[in-house]
Amino acid sequence: MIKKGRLILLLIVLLFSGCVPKQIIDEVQLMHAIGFDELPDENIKGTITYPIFNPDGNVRVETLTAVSHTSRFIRSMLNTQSPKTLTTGQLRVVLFNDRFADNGILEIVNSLYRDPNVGNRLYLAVVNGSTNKLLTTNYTAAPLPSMYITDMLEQNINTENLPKTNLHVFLYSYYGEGMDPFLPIIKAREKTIQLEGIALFRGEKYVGKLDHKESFAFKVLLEGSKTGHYEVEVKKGKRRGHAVVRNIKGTTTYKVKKVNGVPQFDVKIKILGELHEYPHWLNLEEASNIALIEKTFKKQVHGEAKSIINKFQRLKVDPLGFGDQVRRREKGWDFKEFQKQYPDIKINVTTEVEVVESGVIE
Amino acid sequence: MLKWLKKKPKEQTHTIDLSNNTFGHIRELIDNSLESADFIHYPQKTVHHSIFISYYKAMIDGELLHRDVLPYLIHNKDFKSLKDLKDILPIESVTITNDIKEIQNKLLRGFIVVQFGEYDEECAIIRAENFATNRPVSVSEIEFSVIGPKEAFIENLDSNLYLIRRRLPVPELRFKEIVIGKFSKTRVIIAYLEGVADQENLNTVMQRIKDIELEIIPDSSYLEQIISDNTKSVFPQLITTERPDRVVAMLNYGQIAILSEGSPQALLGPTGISEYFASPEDYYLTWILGSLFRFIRFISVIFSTFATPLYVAVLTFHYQMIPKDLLAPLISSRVNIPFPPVLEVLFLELTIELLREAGARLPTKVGQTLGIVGGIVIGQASVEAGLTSNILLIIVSLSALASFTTPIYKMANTIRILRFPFIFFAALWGGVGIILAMSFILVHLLRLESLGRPYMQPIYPPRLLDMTDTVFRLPYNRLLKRPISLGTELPSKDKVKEMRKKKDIDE
Repeated sequence: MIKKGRLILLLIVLLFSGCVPKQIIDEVQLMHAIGFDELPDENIKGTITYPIFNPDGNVRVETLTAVSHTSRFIRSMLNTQSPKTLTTGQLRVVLFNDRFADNGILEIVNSLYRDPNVGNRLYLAVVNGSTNKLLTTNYTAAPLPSMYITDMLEQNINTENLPKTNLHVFLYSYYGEGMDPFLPIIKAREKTIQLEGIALFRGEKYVGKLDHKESFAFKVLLEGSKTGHYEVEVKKGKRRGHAVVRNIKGTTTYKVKKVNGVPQFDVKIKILGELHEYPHWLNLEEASNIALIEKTFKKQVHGEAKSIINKFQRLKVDPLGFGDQVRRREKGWDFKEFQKQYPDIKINVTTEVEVVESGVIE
Repeated sequence: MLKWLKKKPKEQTHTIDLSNNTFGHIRELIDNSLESADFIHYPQKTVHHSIFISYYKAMIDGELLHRDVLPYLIHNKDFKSLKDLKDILPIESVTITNDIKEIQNKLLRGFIVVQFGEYDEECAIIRAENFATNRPVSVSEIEFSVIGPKEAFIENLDSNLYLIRRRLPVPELRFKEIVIGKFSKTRVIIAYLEGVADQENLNTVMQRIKDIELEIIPDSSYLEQIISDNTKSVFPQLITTERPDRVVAMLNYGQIAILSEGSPQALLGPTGISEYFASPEDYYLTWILGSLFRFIRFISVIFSTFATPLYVAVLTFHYQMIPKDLLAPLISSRVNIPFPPVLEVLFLELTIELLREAGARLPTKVGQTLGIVGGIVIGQASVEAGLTSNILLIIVSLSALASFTTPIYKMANTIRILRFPFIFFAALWGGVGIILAMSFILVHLLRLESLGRPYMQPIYPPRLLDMTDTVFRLPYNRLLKRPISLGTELPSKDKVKEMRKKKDIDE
């Protein structure tokens, strides 16, 4: 009996192994980036890039383009031009043309997240301009535009004003009640790709944006941050100049009050900064001058924070998750009710700023 | 099912049994022995009588015969009867007997037989074994260590026993002798420390060795394979060592050592799997270094087993999990390769196995050259010819290197073989296959026993106190207790505390 069992086991191993699809790494075409552009008649133009690895270690990029109504059929059309099967397992970035994003990106994002080959750390981004042009241009900074974009986004998340973003974050804030997603906006320049700012979404639709400078306050407001730079306009007497403050630690606390059934927010921003650059005529040995920079910095960040929150309310988008803040603290929260109240909710912002270092930097 | 596969057992025709061929009479013994060219049997005149001297020329010490036996026999006037030999010969072992079986055995082991008449039944047997042809005790080569004793066992059992007893001069060190092998009459010694070793273990060993029915025992490895609990396992269940210091250390822990005549290797048991990765040097270096090196050895075993199967699994099934920076080197090295990853891996693994096997069979000096030339030339050439990727070449040679770190040679070989089923499963089922193969191996290891004791101890069943000398080796003041898993008695808590103190004066 034991022998029979073993034989059956061996047969299972050998026979069932045929059920596992083989995807040998050099026999599939690894899509690295996909871009979607809008065409008339609800058509979508899909552009993909895939790397060609030469035996000598050099990498070259190839692009394919196809037009159809759905992202999955575009892939099928692309396969008709590709020597090897296109696979999504190494997909790093998915780009949406801004006009395309105006009409909603859910179908594509949904199909991405239902694909088990696609990682959750995939970057999504909105492109100001044609994604096809962005992906087919040669850049000197990196041989593969896909890698260029991913590395660029990654390092901006780690050291600059871009808050953490990827497919998972997008889906979380899309499906979470009282939150709206956001994506980075990038733009093709002549030889480079540039991060422009942050695209704001209402549901699946792209409705507005923040520029790079506004992103600083946004990142601090969103998750607190330990990165980012801010340029302060300094005025003293008749002299004008600019100073740059690096964020060492920025934290935000939210307080919710309910007044007559309408929530009110107290948002408290606290930033510890490091002075990186300042006008030469400003003598930092005088404490009053540092206080001056602090004061101006505070004023400007405060103004920026207020203005972006106003903007969110005006656009009826909630990327900071004010709704979520209420939901966390309240039982039986009514999302619909909140959506109605949101544009008129009172949100108080208080800002505290301290420049803790002004000497040797970094 | 499958009845046609089973063969009918054949009738046993081989019935010659040399083990009981004792001759009935001394005449038969001498006549038969004379058929061999090395048997000497001649008459010799002495003062009072004429005697017959017989011996196997190759087995006796000629110098001893000429210096200490013949002069006394020939010239001594007191030599009147065989009993007088006990007094006149300067040799302690002189026996007078007419037991034909004893005479025959001793004759074959290098004793000299003296009789009055040619076929007299009463004989004197004089000990004169030849020790001159023994290899001297030399430096251990298989389990080499930089620090620590270099002595290794040799083929002579008595010399090996000396190496052990010199390190343990206590009467509690017991050597039990069992003679096994129908033809070879091999002396097997079971060594243990009375009061330390568990009686149950000792009984198991004695029982299993007594039950051995082999004609010859050329090496202790034969014993190891026969007395192993699971003879179908690829894992060695007894440690084979050539180092007396290791044997002594393990005897002190309560293990039992088995030595056999003609074998330069002792067997130790019962063992746990972690002991196979412990080198004597772990104990000779400070405990931090010792533990670290032992840990490196464990890591290298895991690496050696899983590196190439993972390569196969990832490249065949799970390209998704390759980090983006590794993608370019991996693919560009594989672009021109016509084989699937399995064949590529098998090709290189077999090449390495070939090199190892050829290197092991050839004389040392040729072997070294072959290893270097073969390794570099074949590796480089197969990469250039586009048969294998150079990343795989690195992985394969690293995992081969890692498998050589295991100090016990038999375990090192097991580790080398273990990766092939993993590669096979990885090629069939990818990562799932690796997990499946791992489950099989783990189940097998958990069921395995060494002399009736669990093989995975002290990891499973967990014995926290024994962990002090498994993956890590703690300092000696933490190693005062003997392993529980070997069933030995423990010193009391207070005693341990007392022993841990440094008894300096300034306190």
